[in-house]
Amino acid sequence: MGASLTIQQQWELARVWYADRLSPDWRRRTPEEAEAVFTSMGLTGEFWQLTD
Amino acid sequence: MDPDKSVDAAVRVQVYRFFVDQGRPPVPAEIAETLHMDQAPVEDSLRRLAAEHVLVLAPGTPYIWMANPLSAIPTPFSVEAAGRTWFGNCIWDALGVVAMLGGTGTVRTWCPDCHDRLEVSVADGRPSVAEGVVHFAVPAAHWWDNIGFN
Repeated sequence: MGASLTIQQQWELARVWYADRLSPDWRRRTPEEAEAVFTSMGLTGEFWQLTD
Repeated sequence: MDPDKSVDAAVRVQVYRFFVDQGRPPVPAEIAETLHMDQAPVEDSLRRLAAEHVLVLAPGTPYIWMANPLSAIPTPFSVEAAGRTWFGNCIWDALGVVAMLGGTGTVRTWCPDCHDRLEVSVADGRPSVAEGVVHFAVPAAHWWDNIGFN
């Protein structure tokens, strides 16, 4: 039940997600963009799905 | 750009700049002073940002609870980075604090199962820990149903 990531995966996800948060150009990802990040890291399937 | 969007972008940047500089989020009066705005439109902006899940406000107030990955209140996820101690809202956010502040830092927490202390150090973007897993119980589509719990 649920999903598990290794520490390495969680670091990589955190890095992709937050490295540019201080930039004035940052904007929130759309559900499609967020799901694309998950997919690019091999996080697929119903648990990681944000779009229909 | 829509005027509200322009204001919101400026307010968001100021929240983060202040938080990183001072170690705590600003109150609306501090944002208003820096941006040469009245306090009411700053509070309106904070509420719009919260509605869009860009910031999280303490319920019923214009005060910042979370500027992800940063928590304004202590949590079990402490982070040492950039010469200061921070709190992340979860392990993802705690590592996100390290990433946001340059890629070097240490996250400390406790195992939610056995309550042992856990530590992950990151040096120039490389985590020290080879083992260990992070478990997500709530599917991604429902994370914002209760962001305080999740």
